[in-house]
Amino acid sequence: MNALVYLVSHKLKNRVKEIFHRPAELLLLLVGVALVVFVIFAGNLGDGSVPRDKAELSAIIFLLYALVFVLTAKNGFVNGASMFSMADVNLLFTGPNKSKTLLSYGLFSQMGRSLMLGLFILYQYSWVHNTYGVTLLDLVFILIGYGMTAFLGQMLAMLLYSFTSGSDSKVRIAKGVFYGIVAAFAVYLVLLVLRTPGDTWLERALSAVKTPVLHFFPAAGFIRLGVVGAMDGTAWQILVGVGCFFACLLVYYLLISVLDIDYYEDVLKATEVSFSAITARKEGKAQEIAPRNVKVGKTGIGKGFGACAIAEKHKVENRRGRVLWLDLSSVVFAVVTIGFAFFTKEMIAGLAMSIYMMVMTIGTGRWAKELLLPYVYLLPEKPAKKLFYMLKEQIPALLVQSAVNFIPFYFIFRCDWLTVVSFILARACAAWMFIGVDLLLHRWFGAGSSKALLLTLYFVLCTVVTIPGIIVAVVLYQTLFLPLSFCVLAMAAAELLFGLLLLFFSRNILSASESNNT
Amino acid sequence: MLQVNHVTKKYGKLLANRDVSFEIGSGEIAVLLGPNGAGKSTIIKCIAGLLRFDGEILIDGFSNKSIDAKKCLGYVPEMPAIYDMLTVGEHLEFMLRAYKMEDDGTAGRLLERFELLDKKDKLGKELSKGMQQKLSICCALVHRPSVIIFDEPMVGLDPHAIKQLKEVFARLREAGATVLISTHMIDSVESYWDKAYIMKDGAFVAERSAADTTEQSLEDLFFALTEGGKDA
Repeated sequence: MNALVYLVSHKLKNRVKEIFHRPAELLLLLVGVALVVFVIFAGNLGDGSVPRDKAELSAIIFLLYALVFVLTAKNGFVNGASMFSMADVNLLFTGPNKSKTLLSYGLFSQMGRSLMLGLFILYQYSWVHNTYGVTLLDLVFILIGYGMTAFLGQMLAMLLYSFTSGSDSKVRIAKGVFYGIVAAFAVYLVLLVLRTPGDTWLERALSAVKTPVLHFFPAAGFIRLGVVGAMDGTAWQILVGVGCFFACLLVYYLLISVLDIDYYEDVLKATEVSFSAITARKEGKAQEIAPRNVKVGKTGIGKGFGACAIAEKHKVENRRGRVLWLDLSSVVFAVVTIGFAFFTKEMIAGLAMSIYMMVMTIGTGRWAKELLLPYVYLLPEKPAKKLFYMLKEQIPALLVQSAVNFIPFYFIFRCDWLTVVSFILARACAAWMFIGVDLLLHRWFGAGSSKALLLTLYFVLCTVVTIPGIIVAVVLYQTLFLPLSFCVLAMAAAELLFGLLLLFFSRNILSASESNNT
Repeated sequence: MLQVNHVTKKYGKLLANRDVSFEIGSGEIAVLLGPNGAGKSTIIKCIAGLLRFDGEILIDGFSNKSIDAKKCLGYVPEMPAIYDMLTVGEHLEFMLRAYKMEDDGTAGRLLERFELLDKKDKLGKELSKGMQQKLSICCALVHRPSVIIFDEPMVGLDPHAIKQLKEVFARLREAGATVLISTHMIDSVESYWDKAYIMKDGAFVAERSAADTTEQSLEDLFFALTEGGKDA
C-alpha cells in the first residue's frame, strides 16, 4: 500500500477507535448527533409554509462564504495557513516523496478539516427550513459549499504566504491587490444597491446581490452559484460553480507547484506557528492574539496596588493588542447580526443570533487567559476581589460590543431608543451568565477535565440558564401585552440575576480551582 | 518553613499523590526527585495552592490557601508563565504592585543577574523560551518570598543562567528562605541540597539528608529505587 494512503487510512481508523475509547468524546459525538436529529425533527414540525423569499438565503450564503474566504485567505499575510502537521513536515518532507504528491496529500487532509469546521451549518436546519423551505439535502449542499470555500481560502493563504514571505514590499503589494479586489466588489455592490429600484432597502439589496458580476467574486461568488444551482436543480449553475472551483484550484495548485516555489520552507514556518499554538493550547498556556508588529508605546503599568493591578495590567495589554473594547471577531459578529436581522426583518431574530454567537466567543476574553497563568491564583488578595478585577474590563467591553450590534437597529427598523437600550442590556447580561457558567465549570471540574465534556456541559448549561429569561419575556408579551422593550428589559433583569448568582457560586474560583495547566 | 502533612491528591480514579508528608525548615534547600509521572509537579501545584487536595499544607505556619501564606510564597512553574503584551520591566512592576510592595532595587538586581536588563523594554512574546524562563524566575523572586518552590527550573536555561540560578539558591539559603526544587536533572543539584526526597508512583520512597554519611550517591540511590522497584 502506498505510504500516504496507509497514513491517511490509519489516521482515520485510529481517530474513530479513539472516540470509542474516550467516553467523554463519544458522549460529545452522541450529543452532537442527537442535537442534529432534534433540530431536524423540530424543524419539520412547522406547517410547511415558506414565509420568506429564497433569494434572501442566496444572499446570506454569499455573505457567509465571502466572509469565510476573505478571513481565511488574509492569514497568508501573517503566518500562512498550514495544511500539514509537524509530524508531516518532519517525517514526510525529509523522506523520499515528491513535493507535488505531498501537496496533494496536504490538500486532501485540509479538505476533510474544512468540511468538519462547517458542521455547525447542520444545526441551522430548523430556522432555514421554516423560513426558506430548505431541505436537509439543500443544507448538505450549503455545507459542501462552505467546505469548498474554506478550502480555497486556505490554498490562497498558502499561496500569498509563499509569494510574500520575507519581503515587506511584496506583502504591501499583495495586501493592496487583495483588499483592493475586496473593496472594489464592496463599492460596486453599494453603488448597485443605491441605483437598483425597489420599495425597501431589502428589496434593493436582494436585487443587487443577484447581479451576475458577483458570480466572479473569488470563491464565494461562483461557489454560491453552484450551491444555489444544486438546491434549485439548475444544471448550468452547478457546472459553472463546480467548474470555476476546479479551475481556481488548478490555478492555485499550478502557481504553488509549477512555478517552482520551494514551499517546504514556507510550510515549515507556518506549521511551526500553528504547532506552537496547538501545543500552547494543549498545555493550557494563554494564547494572545496579537498584531505582528506590536507598538510598545509608553511602558509601565503606573497605577493600582493589590488586585487592582490586574485590571490596570489589562489596560496596558489591550492597548498593545489594539483591542480597546472591540476586537475583530466582535465586529464580524456584529456585521452578521445586523445582516441577519436585516434579511429576516426580525429584531428578535437579530437579538437571538447575537446571543447565540456570543456563546461561542465569550471564553476568549482576557479573563479566560488569566485563568491559565498562575499569578492570579498566587496573589495575596481575597479571591472574590481578584475575580472582580479580573473581569472588570468586560463591563465596558460587553456594553460597547452590544451597542455596536444594536444601535444600527434604530436606523434599520425605525424602532425607539428604549428598545435598542433593552437589546443592548439583554445581550450584555446574557454575556455575564455565560461567563458565570464558564467560571462555574472551571470551579467544579478544573482544567484537567475532558475538554470535550466541558464544552458539552458549557453549551447545555448556557441553554438552560437562557430559558428562564426567555420565558419571562414571552409571558409578559403574551399575557400582559407589554411593549417589546419592557419584555426584553425583564429578560435582561432575569439574566443579570442568574449571572450574578453564577458569579457568586464561582467567587472562590481563584482559591479553590483545579488549575492544572499552570 | 514549609510543612506538608498527609497530602493526597486524586484526579478522578488516578491517585497522583498518596499520603505525602515532609517538612523543610528555614534556610534549607530540598530537592524533589522522581521519574516522569511520579507526582512531583502535582505536589508542587498543591503547595502553590493551584490544586485541591486532602491533607494540610502550611507555609510559614499559615494554611497555603490563606492570603498570609500567599504573601510568603514564590512559585516558578514548569512552563514559563509570561504575559505576551507586557514588557520584561512591566512584569516585575506588575508583581510588585499586585503584592503591594515598593521596589527596593530587587527588580533591577534580578534583571541584571539573569542578563535581562537590556531586554527590559522587550515584550514577553519577543523573548526566547530560555529568556521567558528567566523572567518567570524573576517574577517569583521579586516580591522577596520566604518560601520558594521551583518546578523544573533549569529546563531551557543556558549554562550561564544555570550558574546564576545556583547562586540564587545559595543566596536564598543564606537569607533564611525555604527552597523546594523539583527536578529530574540529578547531577545539577548534587552539590547544594540539604534534603532530598525521591518520589515514585505518587509517594515518597526515600528521604535523605545532606548530613547522612553513606557511600551511595543520590544518583545511585535514585536509580536503585526507580529502576529496581525497592523502597529504601
